[in-house]
Amino acid sequence: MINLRMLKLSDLWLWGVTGALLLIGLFAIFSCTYAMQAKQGLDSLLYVKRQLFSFLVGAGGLIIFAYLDYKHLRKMAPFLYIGMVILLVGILFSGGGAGGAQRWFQIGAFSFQPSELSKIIMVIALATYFTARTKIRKFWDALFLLGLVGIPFLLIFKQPDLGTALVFVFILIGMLAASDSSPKLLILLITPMLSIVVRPFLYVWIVYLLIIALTLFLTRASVWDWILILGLNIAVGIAMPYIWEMLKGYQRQRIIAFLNPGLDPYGAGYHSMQSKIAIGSGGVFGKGFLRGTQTQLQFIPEQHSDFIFSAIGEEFGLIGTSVLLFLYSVFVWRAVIIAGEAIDLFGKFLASGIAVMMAFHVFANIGMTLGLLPVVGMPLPFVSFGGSSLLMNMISVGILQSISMRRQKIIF
Amino acid sequence: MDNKNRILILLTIFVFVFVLIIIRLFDLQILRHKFFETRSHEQRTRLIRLAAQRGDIFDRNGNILSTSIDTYSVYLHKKGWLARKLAGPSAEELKKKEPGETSILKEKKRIYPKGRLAAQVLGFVGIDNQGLSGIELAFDEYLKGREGQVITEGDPRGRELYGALREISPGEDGMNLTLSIDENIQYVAEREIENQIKKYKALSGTCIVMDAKSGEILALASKPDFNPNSYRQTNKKLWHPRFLDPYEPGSTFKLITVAAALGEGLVEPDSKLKSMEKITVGGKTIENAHPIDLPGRYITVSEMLEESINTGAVQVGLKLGPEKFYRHIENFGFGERTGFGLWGESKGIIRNWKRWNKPDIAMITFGQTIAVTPMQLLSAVSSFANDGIMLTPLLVKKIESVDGKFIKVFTQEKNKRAVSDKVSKKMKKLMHNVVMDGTGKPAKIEGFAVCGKTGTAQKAIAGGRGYMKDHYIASFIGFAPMDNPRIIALVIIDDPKGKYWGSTVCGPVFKNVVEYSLRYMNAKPDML
Repeated sequence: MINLRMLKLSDLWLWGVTGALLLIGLFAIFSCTYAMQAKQGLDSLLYVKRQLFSFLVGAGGLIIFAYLDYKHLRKMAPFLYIGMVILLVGILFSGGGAGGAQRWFQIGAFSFQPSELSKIIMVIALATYFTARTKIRKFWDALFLLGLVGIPFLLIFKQPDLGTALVFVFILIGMLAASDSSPKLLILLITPMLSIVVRPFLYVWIVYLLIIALTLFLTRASVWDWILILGLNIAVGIAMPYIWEMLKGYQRQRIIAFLNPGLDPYGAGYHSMQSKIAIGSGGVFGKGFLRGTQTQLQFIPEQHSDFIFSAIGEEFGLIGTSVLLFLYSVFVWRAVIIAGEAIDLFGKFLASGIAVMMAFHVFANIGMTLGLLPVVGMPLPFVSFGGSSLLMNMISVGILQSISMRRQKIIF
Repeated sequence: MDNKNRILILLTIFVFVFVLIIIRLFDLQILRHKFFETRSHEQRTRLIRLAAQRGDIFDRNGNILSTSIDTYSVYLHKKGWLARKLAGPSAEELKKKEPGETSILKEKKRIYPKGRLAAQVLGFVGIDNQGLSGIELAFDEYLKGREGQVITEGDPRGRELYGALREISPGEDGMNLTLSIDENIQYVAEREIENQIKKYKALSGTCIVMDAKSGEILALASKPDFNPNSYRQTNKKLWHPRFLDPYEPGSTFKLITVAAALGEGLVEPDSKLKSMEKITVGGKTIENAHPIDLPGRYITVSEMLEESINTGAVQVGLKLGPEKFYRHIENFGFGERTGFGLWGESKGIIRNWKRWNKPDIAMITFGQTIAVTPMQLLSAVSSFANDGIMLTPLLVKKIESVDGKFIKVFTQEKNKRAVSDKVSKKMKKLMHNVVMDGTGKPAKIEGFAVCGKTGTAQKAIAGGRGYMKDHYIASFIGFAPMDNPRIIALVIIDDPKGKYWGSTVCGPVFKNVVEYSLRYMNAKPDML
């Protein structure tokens, strides 16, 4: 199934980038946690050790998925999807989380976050669907697609894990773009999201609806398209206040804080402000490894997980952040190349799905630490502390390599 | 659109997003780097002020008059102080009772272990241990010390950084201050003046005891006073050291008149003055305070002082004339602060002779229409006890830092001559005659030759012209023993009721206080 010849076909750039990101992650985790641990008289290397253990588990996952022909995933997709839904329903009733969030399964000393794995399963499920229906033109296809993404979306939204739920939406949009679906369907899916953004400003929203109507009129859209597109936009606009009500208090605060970060620097906007101070004060060259005052003094709670980028920004400056950004660019670039060179549609969709997922993670996480986006819990791939996330990322690399290695028909 | 184009679109979006991040990074890490660096510095460093221990105040023998002890204050988070400077157990109790988040801070509280003793001299401090009155105020710079500053790097909850850099500018404890006051003499002076105030239902009283050699003030009693441990609970007017204020000295000032005339060679102790019941100067008729019962048409200068005869003093004054008289008054230090140690000392009210009204030359001879401070009078009279050299009253003996590196000792510096040695000897004799044969008899002390002079001044109407009827300031100034004076004392009692003569009201206080002081100081008796 796998041999040296195939291994040569694996993507060297991807190996290198993955290794570099993992290494940077270990150093950054150490920097974020050693002072905190030492202050309490605990093992200052504890978090690094735990991350290394996660890496070993992740490496196992990587090897399995690289070894496994990705085409088998297509057959497994329905089972994976159903299994994921069961897990997500299960966690809603297990109630094993802290701070109003139920995101973990506790297995012995280890906690496991199904929503992380659900991301890659979602990519597999969508790739399977798009392979079966390359051209989504029918209304029912779109509805099925909405259901496919909607069920886990709502389950995760309920946890609540806004970040992961949003990942689903962007994976869907990205894969739709990569597929041969009708542009109208894209409009159908993307315009309601813009509606959400402009809805708080009522008049802007009305103007926005008029623009959509004008576009529909000029493109001589059918009655069905009129009803669907405009109807969906209006429905979203009306539902928004209710969804807003559904959001947990802290989620609402975070969104408000994002829109107006100076309002309450020690409240909801605290994370964002402290993260910006850390990155900004790092300057070009940074304050040096273990020398970042924002990081070492724990101005940013839980910095080793979602806000690890701010630690790198503070201690390694613009040079560090640029290197990191370069590594992620290479990762996404390789994923897109693998998608382009895949021998079958399924491989292509799978790779582009992973590319979109990674790119969205990187953008959402870094955007959040830079104060460009609201604070939603989303780890920085390969670098943030967290086993489930690392496992999911390693499996993604495994799948990408599996596609890369099988891009040529093996001729004996 | 084919697949390749779609993937290109995806790539374009990725590139766009990454460019956006790069721009933002450029903005934060280069354009606004300085701003964020400042913010980062500001929020991690904090200045902790370490209050310095305020210096103690001792009497001349090292007895504690004012010190600081540990107390506990309860702080309610984000609200402020709940209560300050409690005893440990009551602070704990309050903390338990309070539902909010509280913490207990240790603070120093100023206490005065001797209670009211020398209250107006010592003064008191505010809640933050800043000197507000008396010595505490005047020597606050020395007593308060310098607060230490610790700059720490702390996390957002104020906890110090693990192994953080600390920049310490160490504080310095306040210096200890030794007063010239002797707490025993102070106690006696306070007791005697208080008794007399009670006895004569007077408004207030002052008794100052000065060392006749060094000018050091051994007692500075002023009643009624307050307890500096609970100064807020008393009338604010009582906080003010009244011995800083000027008063019309009355007949005690005749000493200055006579000394001036002696100095000018215009009179001698046995010079003859006309015996008159009244005398008119500048249109104002001046009467004696009491009818003269001396026989004959003449009285001597000595008899004038002994019986405190106003008309006689006026005659001496007229011999001097305004200009010479004024120069002598000025030379005795009147109209000038003595600088004995406390803030707020008055200069007295002495007008230049050119601006005197016609009768003033007469009035001033017996200490009216002129106002002096008790310290000025003591200082002036000290010249008679000290061979003509005036002493500056000194309230503080020594200021010393805790580590002993800084010591400041206060001693006589001016050595200003007020009268000649000869005149001082004549003045001594004249004053002794007052005690032996005149109004000063109540001040006689067994075994010691006492010199003194009584004073009974009419009280001026506050803020107006003229004098109040039947309101007097009784006083007595003197020193002993005559040959080798050790103690100078001044007793003033404001507005005694019933008997109001300086001799009757103040003489006994002078006698008791000076007698105690002389025996306490092992003074050698000089009289049978």
